[in-house]
Amino acid sequence: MSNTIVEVKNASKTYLSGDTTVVALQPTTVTFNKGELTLIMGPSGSGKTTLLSLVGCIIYPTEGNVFLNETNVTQLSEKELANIRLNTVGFVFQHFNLLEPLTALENVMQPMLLQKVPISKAKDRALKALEKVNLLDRKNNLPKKLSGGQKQRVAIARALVTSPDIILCDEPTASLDAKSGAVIMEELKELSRQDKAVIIVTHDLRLRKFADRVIYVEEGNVSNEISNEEDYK
Amino acid sequence: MWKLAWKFIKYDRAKSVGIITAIVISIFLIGQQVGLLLFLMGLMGNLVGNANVNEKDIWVIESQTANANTLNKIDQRYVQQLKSIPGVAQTYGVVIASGEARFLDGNTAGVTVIGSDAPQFVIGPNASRISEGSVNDLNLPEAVSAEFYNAKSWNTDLYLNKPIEINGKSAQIKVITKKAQAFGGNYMYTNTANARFFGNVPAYQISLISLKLNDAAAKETVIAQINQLYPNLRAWDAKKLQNSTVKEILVSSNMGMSFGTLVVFAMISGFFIIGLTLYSSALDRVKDYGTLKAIGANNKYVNKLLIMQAFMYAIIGFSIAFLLLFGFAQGVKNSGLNINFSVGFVSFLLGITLFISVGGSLFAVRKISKLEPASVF
Repeated sequence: MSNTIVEVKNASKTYLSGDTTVVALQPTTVTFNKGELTLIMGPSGSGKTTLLSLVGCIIYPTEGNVFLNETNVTQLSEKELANIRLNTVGFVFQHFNLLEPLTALENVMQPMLLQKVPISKAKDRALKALEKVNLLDRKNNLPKKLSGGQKQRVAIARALVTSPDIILCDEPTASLDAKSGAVIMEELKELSRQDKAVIIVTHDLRLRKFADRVIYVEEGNVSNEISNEEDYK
Repeated sequence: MWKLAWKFIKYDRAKSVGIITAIVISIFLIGQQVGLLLFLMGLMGNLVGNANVNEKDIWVIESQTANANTLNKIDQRYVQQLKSIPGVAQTYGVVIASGEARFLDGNTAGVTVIGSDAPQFVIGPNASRISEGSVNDLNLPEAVSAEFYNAKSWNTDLYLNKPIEINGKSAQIKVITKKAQAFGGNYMYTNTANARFFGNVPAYQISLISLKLNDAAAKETVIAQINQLYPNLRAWDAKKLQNSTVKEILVSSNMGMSFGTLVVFAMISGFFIIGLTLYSSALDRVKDYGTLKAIGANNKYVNKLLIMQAFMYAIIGFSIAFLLLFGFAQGVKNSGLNINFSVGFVSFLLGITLFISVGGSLFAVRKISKLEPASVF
C-alpha cells in the first residue's frame, strides 16, 4: 500500500495583479508521504506558502491537479474543500492564529465543534490534547494571556485534536525563542513518527536536522532536495 | 455556534457597545415616533372609537365630507326617512356642536359637545372609556362628560357634579371619561337635547345618523341603496369612516409624511450605522474568520456566525430600547399621551430591529464571504 498521502501533479498557481500575471508557483510535481517530516525551504516570495496552501486545500491550482488520499481535490467545491481541511489537515500558523475571543480550551475544541462532535466529548478530547502539550493549567486563559510558546502549543493541540493525516506548519518556530522552537520541533517530529505527514515551511536552516526530507523552492520552482546547506546559503 | 457568536460579541466590547447603542437609539426613536403617530391616529378616529359601534352599524353623514371631525348638519327628517330603507332596524340621530366651556376658576376651553340618546347612546362614550359616573347620568338636564386627561390642559380639577358653563349655559360634569380624547379638541358627551341646548343647534338639524340593521340585512346593500336614494347623504361603514377620517387628517396636515420621513430616516441611519460598525468589527476580527475558514469552516458557517451576532445585537438592543420606550410611555402617560404596546406595534418594532441589524450585517457577510482562507498565511 502506497505511503503517499498528497500528490501535487503539474500544479501551478498564478495571480493577477492589475494587468500583470504573477507566477507564484511554476508547474510542480511533488509527493508527500505519511510518516515523514518534510521541510519546504526557500527565500521569501519563492512560492513556499503557495505550495503549502495547495497541499492544505486552501487554494485551487491554476493548472494541474492535487490529489489527497487519491481524491482529486481540484474538482471539489468550496464546501467540500473546507470539509477536507476540517477532517484531514491540521494547521499550525506562524502567528499561531488562535481565535482571540476564545480560551485555550475553546480554541482546541473548535475544530471538533465544526465537525459537530458533541460538546462534552469535544471538551474531553480537547483537555487530553492540552494535557499532551502540558497546558492543562492554562486551559481557561485567553490567547492574550499566553506566551508565544504556549500559544504555539495550543495551536498544535488544535491542529492535532482531530487526528488529521496531514499537519501543515507555516514557520512554526519563527515567533519563538530557540528553546521553545526546539521543543515544538521535537513534538512535530514525534508526530511524524505516528504515521502523520508533517510538512513545514521555514527559512530556518537549523530545522534541517529534524527533517526526513527537504524540498527547496526558488522563484516558483521546486527541487526535491538540497544538496547541502551551502547551496541554500 | 450561539456561544461562539456571544464570545465574539463579548470580546469586542467597544464595538459591541457602539452597535447596541445605535440599535437602541434607532429603535427608541422609531418606536417613539410610531407610538406617537398611532396615538394621534387613535385620537383622529376617536369619534368612532368612543362610540358604541357594532360590526353591522352604518353611519350616515352629509355627502361633502369624508372626515368625521368636520361634519356638516343634515335635516332631522332623514332620521325617520332612513328607517324606511329595507334592512334598517333602527335609526338614531346624533347632534355635534362646538362650544366654549368655562370653569369655576375662569379658565376656558373650546369643546365639542356630542349628544345621542339613552339607552343606546350610540355615539358613546362606550363603557371602556368611562372612568367615573354612569353613561345614564348623561340623560339628566345639563349633564355632560369631561375627559380626565384634559384636566391638565384646562388647568382645572375634574370631579363628578362639578358645575361648569358651556356657551354661557349652566352644565354639570356627570361622567368622567378616560382615553376618550379628541384630536385637536375636547369631547364632552351628553344627550341630544342637551347638545342642541348648549350648541344652539335647531331642532330640525342633526349631525349624523347611526343605523342599526336587521340580522338578515346585508350592510353593503343598504349602504349602496342609501347612497343612491339620497345624493345629499353618504352612508359609511362606521369603521371605514374612522379610517377615512384618519387618512384625511394625515394627508391634509402632512403628519403622515412628517412622521413617515422621521421613521424612514431613523431606519436608514440605523441600518448604515449598524451595518458599518458590524463591518468594521468584522474587519477587526478578519484574522479569526480567516482562521476559522482555514481550519475547516465553510462560508455558510462563517456567514451564520456573523448573522447570529447581528441577531444577538438586535435582541439586546431591542430589549433595551423597549424598556426605554416603556419608561417613556409611563412618563408621558399622565399627560394623556397613551402609547399602546399592542402585539402589532411590538412586532413591528422587533421586525424593524431585525431588519436593520441583520440587514446591516450583510455588509460584513459580503466581505467575509470573499475572504480567502489563504489570507491567514
